[in-house]
Amino acid sequence: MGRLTGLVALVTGAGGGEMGGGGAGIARVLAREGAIVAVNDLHEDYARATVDQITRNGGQSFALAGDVSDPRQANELVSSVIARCGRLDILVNNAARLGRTPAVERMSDEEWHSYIAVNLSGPFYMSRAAIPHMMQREYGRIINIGSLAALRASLNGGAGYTSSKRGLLGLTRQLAAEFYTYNITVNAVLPAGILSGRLRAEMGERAEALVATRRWALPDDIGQICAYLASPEAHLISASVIVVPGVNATGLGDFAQYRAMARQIGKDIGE
Amino acid sequence: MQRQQRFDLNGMVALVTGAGGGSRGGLGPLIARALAESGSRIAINDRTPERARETVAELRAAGYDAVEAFPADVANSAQVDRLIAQVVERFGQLDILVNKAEAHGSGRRSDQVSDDEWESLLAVNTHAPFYLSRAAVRHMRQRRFGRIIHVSHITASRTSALNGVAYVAAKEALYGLIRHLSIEVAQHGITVNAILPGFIVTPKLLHGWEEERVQRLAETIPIRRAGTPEEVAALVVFLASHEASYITGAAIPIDGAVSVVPGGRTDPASAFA
Repeated sequence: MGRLTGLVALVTGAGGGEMGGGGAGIARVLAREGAIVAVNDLHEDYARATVDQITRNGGQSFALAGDVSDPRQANELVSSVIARCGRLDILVNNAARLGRTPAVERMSDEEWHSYIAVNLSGPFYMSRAAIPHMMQREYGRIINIGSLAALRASLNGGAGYTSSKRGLLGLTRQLAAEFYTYNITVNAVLPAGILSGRLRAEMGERAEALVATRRWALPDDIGQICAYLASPEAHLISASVIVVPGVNATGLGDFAQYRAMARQIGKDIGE
Repeated sequence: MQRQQRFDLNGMVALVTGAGGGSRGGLGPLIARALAESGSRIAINDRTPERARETVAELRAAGYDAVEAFPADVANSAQVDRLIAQVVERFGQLDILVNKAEAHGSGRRSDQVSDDEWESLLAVNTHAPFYLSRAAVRHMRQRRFGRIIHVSHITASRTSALNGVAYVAAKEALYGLIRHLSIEVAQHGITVNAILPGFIVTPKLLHGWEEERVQRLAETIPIRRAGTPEEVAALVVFLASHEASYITGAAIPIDGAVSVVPGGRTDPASAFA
């Protein structure tokens, strides 16, 4: 029996299977621990890649396409899990918009809004949809996948990414405060780099070295953290920010190094 | 007591958003007044033209001539671009942006917060600061000097029973913007900061209160009183000055240590709502 046997989880942005990122890893580990896992992603095919991988290994899972940044679709995602499984115990808000944007002075309204919509409004809409049901059952585990950018500034992304991930800390804190008496915990996990299956295939040995030296996490590593937070035993962990080591999360940064990296990858840091 | 010499803002131009309403308007107009006292020329923004003009009229009556009204909705990207352009056109420059405009939440529990509330709080408390900062930076970097100061709230760094989830998330996102922007613009002589006031009341508000109510409020705060707008305005003046050139990317509490108190209520003010 796994730690999550009998529980139902919904993981957003969890498609891609073998080629996927943190979300796929989270879905795999929760399923391995016995949870029935609803795998959400924007596209059904992409979600199904993770579902297939889980079911091949004897787990229970199904695919749910939908865009978390649309409140109507967020409501539908939650209600369809409850309709199908009769319950929803674990919500992992992992879906996120990544990528590079220009410095603030050159950023368009659309670029800015797209990050806030997916990375901050999405988790709010999903949580709001799930909470009434969780309150009723007096069990809920909401896990928001943030980023180390929330504690600093984004290494690869722009101000929209940093702001959305910082805002997620506020969302986590307020939700945790409001619902802890209902046995609903709300936590944030802040990974540094995650070696997605796709990157692993592309980068080869260089990526393996980053994993071996603990600078990058594997998708399933993030899944292990979530599996614990999702379990009944973790009922007194709430409003916590779990920092996944990788790039230095605790010391001072090095601007010269940051600038050199930005030049190398063509990131606009406002020069 | 004789006023000590203040930080000198002579020759500077400041834009204060959400600064309408004059002496009935709260913190914004008082910040504008303090900046004017220190020598800055002032652009008063408010969404409502009459409210902006009210503050301008009072400041002019107090002897500050270089004060103009610039009504605009800061949650509207195009209006913000126009606002900054108009200020620069009128005064020839913009050195200090104090963003005081904000939207308050309903205080409903998160599962009861509507799409409208969520979106409108993000619009004013997160998107508006982005539009304002972007337009201000485009101008400030040419002059290699700038001070961007967002007036947030201490509950934004904790939780808020009065304003709820949208307020906390939106203001925390604003802090992310401040941090990211601070490293982009540091090299151009521009600083970006937030201040986090606690429970601030005007003497006028307290005047109408029963002594017992004032006392009850005072006892929730380690300093044993509410903060005054003048204390907050003084921090803004300092952050706007040349002397504060090495402070950037910061969110500075000004709350009488209420955010340090263990246990108790979520908001210092919630007992008085």
